[in-house]
Amino acid sequence: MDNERGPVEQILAGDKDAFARFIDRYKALVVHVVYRMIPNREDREDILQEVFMKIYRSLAGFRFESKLSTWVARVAYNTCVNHLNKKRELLLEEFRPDLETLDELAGDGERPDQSAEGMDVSLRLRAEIEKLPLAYRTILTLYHLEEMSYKEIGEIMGLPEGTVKSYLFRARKHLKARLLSGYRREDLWS
Amino acid sequence: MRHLTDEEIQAYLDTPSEEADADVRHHLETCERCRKALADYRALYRRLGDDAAFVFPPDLAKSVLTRMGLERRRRRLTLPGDLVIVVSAIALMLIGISVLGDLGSLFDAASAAMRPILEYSTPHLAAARDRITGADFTVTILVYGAAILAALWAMDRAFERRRPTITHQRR
Repeated sequence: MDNERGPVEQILAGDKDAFARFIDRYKALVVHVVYRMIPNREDREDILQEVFMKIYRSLAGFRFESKLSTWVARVAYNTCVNHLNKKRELLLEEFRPDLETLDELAGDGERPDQSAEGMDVSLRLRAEIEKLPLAYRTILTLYHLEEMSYKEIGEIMGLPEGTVKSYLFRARKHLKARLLSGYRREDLWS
Repeated sequence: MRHLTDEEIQAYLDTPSEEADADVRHHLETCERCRKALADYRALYRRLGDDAAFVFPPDLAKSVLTRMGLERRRRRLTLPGDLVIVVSAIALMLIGISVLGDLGSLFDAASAAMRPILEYSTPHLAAARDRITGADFTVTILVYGAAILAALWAMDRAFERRRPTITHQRR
């Protein structure tokens, strides 16, 4: 964490170039979180900018008690949750899905083998991820794209580690089942 | 033979542990079904870790800095101008009242404007209102209207938010 102090102090001293480098450094993380959490594509660009503006304004309050990436992800996560709340797009079951949510999704009447026809496996996977409740989408993103630990994800989302792990396992099991019902195993492996 | 559960396979991939993995590895050597399940999850993990589908905005840093700079510059550059407009509108109102009410009371009106508003302007405005009749009243209303519109326009400009648009490109 010591190597994070230098850039932060430069930004706090008013170095605009340092902040530009900071944005480039954390752009992928914020894009991953925002794009996975915000369904409306038109809102995403605005929220991306809002996240970095919030970071700039509150960076002085960062105490280096966690990794900077964890803090950045938390700002992005909270900004998205606030946005969804404001637009009344955040349903309770999306935020705290119960154990039945994925089973209900699996039985939503849509047969993957029909809708998947002709669609690339990666595209299909993306579509299946977008159908998952918010908490599952976010956890999958932070774990697989950002390689964060259960603990870090728990800190970001305010969830116990056990819940993070449970959601992650259930989401992957669900996705594997959905893909295998629409594609041959070799297509998934290729 | 008991097959590995989905949870056991995922845990094997997530958190390598020599002791726990020995049993899993031993089972995998002899069980084709579990080997296939493991390969399924490996393929899924690989795809979940691929961010090729994400479209990254170019020049995000520039857009953020521009937006922050723009907002500050707008506040810095427009507020003095807007203040001039608001002050002018108030002065116009006071002059309008004085001229239309009684040319002789122009000095009194100017004096009143210089004193604390609550203490001096109220009786002056009341006196002016009593003197205004007919055409004078119409002109006064127009002056008031123009002043209010100018103030609203100034406030609108002061709080206006302009955001630069970001265009996307594939990373």
